[in-house]
Amino acid sequence: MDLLIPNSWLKKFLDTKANPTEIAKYLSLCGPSVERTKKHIDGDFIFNVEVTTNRVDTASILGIAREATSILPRFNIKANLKNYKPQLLNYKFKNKVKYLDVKVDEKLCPRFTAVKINGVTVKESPKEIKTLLEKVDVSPINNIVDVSNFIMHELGQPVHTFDYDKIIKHKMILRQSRNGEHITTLDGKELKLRGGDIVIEDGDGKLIDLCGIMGGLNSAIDNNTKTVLLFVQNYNPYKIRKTSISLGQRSEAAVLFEKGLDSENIKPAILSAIEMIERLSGGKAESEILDIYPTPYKVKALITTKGEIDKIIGIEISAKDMTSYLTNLGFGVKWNKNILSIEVPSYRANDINIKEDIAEEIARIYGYHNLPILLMTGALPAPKVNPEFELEKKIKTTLLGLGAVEVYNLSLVDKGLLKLKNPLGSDTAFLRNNLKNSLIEDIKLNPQEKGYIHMFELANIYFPHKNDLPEERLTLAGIIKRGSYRENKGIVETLLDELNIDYSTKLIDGKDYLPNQKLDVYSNKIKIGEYGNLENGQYYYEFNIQYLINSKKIIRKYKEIPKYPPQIEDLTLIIPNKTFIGDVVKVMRSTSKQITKITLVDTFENAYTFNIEYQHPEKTLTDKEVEETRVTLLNHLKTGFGVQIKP
Amino acid sequence: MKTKCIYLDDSYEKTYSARVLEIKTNKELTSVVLDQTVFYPVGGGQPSDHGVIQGKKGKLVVEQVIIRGEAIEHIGKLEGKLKLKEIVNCTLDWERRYHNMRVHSAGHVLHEAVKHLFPELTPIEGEHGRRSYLRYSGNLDEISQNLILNKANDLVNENLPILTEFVTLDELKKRSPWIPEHLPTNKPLRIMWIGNFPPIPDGGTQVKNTSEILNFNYLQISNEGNEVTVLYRISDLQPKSSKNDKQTQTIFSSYQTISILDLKNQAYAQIDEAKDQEELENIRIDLFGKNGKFTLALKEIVKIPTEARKQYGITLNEGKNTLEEQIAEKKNELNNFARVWFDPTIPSKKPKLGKLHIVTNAINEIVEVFEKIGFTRMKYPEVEFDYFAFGALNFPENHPARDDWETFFIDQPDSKKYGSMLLTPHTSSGQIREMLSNKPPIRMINIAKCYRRQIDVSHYPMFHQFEGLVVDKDISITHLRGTIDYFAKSFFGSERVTRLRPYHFQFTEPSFEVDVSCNVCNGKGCKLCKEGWLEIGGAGMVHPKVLENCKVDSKIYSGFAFGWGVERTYMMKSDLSVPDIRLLYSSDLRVLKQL
Repeated sequence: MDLLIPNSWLKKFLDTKANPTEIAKYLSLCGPSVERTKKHIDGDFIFNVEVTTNRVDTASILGIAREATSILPRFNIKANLKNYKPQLLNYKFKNKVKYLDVKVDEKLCPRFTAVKINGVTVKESPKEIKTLLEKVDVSPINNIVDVSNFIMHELGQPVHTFDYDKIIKHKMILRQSRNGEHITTLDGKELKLRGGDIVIEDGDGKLIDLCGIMGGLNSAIDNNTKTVLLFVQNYNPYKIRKTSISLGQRSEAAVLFEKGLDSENIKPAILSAIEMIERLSGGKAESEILDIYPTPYKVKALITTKGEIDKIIGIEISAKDMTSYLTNLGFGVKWNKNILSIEVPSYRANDINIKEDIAEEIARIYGYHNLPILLMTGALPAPKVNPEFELEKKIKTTLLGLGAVEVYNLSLVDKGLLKLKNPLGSDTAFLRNNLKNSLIEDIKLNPQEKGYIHMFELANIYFPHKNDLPEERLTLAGIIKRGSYRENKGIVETLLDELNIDYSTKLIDGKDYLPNQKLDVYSNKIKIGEYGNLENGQYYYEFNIQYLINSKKIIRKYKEIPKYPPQIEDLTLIIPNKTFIGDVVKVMRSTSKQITKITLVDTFENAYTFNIEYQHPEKTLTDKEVEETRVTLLNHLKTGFGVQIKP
Repeated sequence: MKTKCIYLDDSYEKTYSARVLEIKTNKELTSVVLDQTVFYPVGGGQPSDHGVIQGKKGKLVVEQVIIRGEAIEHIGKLEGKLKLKEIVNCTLDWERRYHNMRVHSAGHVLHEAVKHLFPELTPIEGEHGRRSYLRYSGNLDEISQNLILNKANDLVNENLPILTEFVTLDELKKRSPWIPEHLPTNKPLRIMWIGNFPPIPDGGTQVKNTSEILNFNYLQISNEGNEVTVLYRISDLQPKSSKNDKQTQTIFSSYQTISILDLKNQAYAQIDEAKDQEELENIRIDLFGKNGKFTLALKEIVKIPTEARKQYGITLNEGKNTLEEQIAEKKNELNNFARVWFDPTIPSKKPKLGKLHIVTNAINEIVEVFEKIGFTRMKYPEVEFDYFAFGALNFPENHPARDDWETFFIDQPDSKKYGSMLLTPHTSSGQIREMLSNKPPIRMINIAKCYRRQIDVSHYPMFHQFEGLVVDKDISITHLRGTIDYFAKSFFGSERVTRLRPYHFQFTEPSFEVDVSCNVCNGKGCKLCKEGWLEIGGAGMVHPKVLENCKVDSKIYSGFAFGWGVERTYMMKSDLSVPDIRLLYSSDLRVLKQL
């Protein structure tokens, strides 16, 4: 959470000569981060501080001052806390008072305090209070409400005030809400509760407070309020978070309560609030303060050793320095030889649990920036090679060279086999089980491209397994718009060649493909992928990466460069309609070992021109020998397919 | 002060004695005036003489001679001391002088040949130094070259005497058919004539007979506007070997330097005349090849007296540079004949290259860095059980990350052992998988898709993280610092530094936020960064509970981990500032091609 901390307000508690730049820099290095420092019009500096969820004790002016007094001395700047103890101590804290009848569930509210303040005059706050509030982005309202906000920012403890006279029976029942109950909060919103929220009922079934979030409008302070009920509590953080998130009411108080506050901080908070309200409104508080606190804080103790701390940090820090860092932070420290006993202050009770927490406190104050920068020296783990990564890289670089553009599509789509319980919308409610639909969509999203498009994606698709995690099938798929079939097929074949895969194809119809226009790719008798023309006219290919890894590979062998030159000729064949040229070529290849290369170089209607190379490893073929091979070839083609040679 | 010019009376005088009248030194150069001199001062197209003026306690190596009023100044480097009024011995660099004299006389012979053949030409000027020519007003046909050359050589072969005489201006005007416009008034007026040709004014040194010229071996006519230049060269005398000659010994250095100048001049002409690349290449080899003239001359340097070695070296080097330049020029010139029209400015045709996604590039770069320090890339499920994504990572039961509004849950029955099924919101689930399946030492890097229920300018429901995990004995914060620093310096640049700030994560203790110094402001603080630092992401020492959950003994082993956003980290490196993270997952080719 982000906090605004005016330097002037900080100085109320922090006695130091450190300038704002130093404070910002050193706090960031060793404690809460000062993200930015802004200069206010009146010359004051305002720190924007990020407080982590475990350190809600620093989410206040006092909390930051406490950190600063521990950190600044490490940079040779003196710093001390001042004015942090409330002065009014003549009040009695009682678990029962005459002016208020209260029933509290301890599980919902570990500490409940309240006091009645009589004879107040509601008016504007003095200028210095208003200015400070404005510096922390709070709009001043009146002297009573402003005190609540002021104390919350100063001490990190939310404070609430009721108009005592609006609580007709002077009775309060703190309980969980029931499904369907309604409350209108101070901001005028009427909220319907789903049950389980912490609320206060006035004994007549009327809800007067949505605890820890915002007060009820029906019991709010107004200009005519004469008697104030000052109200300081601690609440169950999980309940508060649930209510705040589900109702979308993220008030400052809720953000504090949901992190778990220190019940010990309630006493100084209520005393400071009484002092301020009396001073600003002319009211007078009852001498007995209601305080229901069935389980007071017991000092938490931890034991560790100097060696353990040093081992975590990686260097030795002297016991003397450890003591000084920890005591400055409010910890009790006792040494017995190398054994370190720690007493944890109440405001750190949630956060400090194990020796690593103590090591962190010591290390951060020592300064992470003062630690050496070292690489590990131990043995390297045994190498584990995942062939997927290697293959992925090879596929991607090949496709890059072939002109394809890679896309990363969202895995969440509108249809699939695995449904999300809590999708962001119906169009992203499923994990996809194919890449095809995403790629078809990608083409649609590029109407501006008038030329050739080739896009590909390499990603998981998801298939449920009964009683187990789903299968995450790593898949390569690509889509091409406007290429010729022969060129597109060439891309897939080049990729497979580059991956060295021994494969064959089978013509099999498939979903989304035009009939007769899809080939399945097989290797080792397993279908590893497919490609062909889709119904929308685009060309699509898809491969299962795991199958590609396991597929049969072509064993590469160095072949001697032929010593004798080939005879090369072009043959134009007239091939009857509806003949698979692939089959014709297969027959041509199997005709003679002397035919070493066949390339289809041109087609026109039924005429197919092949460039054919005849070669013998041990001699130069004579014209006569070539002629003999050619005659055999043409005979095969004539009997097999009715092919004629073009005269 | 007046210097008597002995060379006007006897141009063959090589040595003589004289008295020093004046010595002036300015920086490295000293100027000496004598009562009489055989040194020819520069003028009339003839270069000045070189030589040595030797006194009792020093000498002047004369490099330049000029006329100053009636005095003649000998300028050069003084070695030792010369005294005023001292009687000194002067020695000419005779090889140079004699060559200059021959070239000069040759110019006059050539002039007579030109005038004889083309009387209509009016002389403008002549130069008889390194580049010797006569310039006339008028034009000549280039084919007249041989005609002139033959005529000039005829005159040489006729053994005509060359004579000089001091005259008055009036007498000159009577005897000479042509008088230059600006006759020098600071020189004695002298005329010269060749055989029976009419005399003309001349103040230079001349040979006694045209035969000394030997012959003209080169002539070139070049017309420029209304003027024509006739370039000429004569054949060189073979330098006489005179090793035992004491006097020559003293000017050995000058002699050597001069022979290099000659070599250079000769080569210059050869290069100029080269007809094709082959001839040019032969010339080059002849000069700079293994046994080339310059190559050998360079080897000679050890034989040069120390005091002259520097000058010799400089001359040699300058000569070499000039000639190499000329060879290069000539090469281009010869090439020009073979040049055809070609337009290199025509727009290109680029081969169609695809484009890999920015995330792919980022992943490749990140993996490369970590592999160098022994990390291995691993792979774990994207769809996970709660236990791996949260439970074993020490997230409390009601931690906000487990809320419906933070993490995507799958509509599948819960596992009894591992809880609900979800899309992992961070790569940290890989830590659990890794530690459960492999024993330390572990150095793992996991880069994968993650999902969070958030969509805005800086969030997309799907994104990538890279997670590093190291588990071994004695792993401390110092190693985390080291690894992170190594990554930042390799990935962002060696000048970048990192810092750790205290932070909080459930599964690490202590936890840190890692910052890298801003490259835009170099850490001073600017609009793009926070007080000079850019946040990379979280890191920390593996929480002992997490180790225990993975059956790793936290008393023996410790570890650290970090998990950062791939997109964010890569964007911090690239200078491309994409305004909306969702653009990375766009399929708009206009966007993709830019990333």
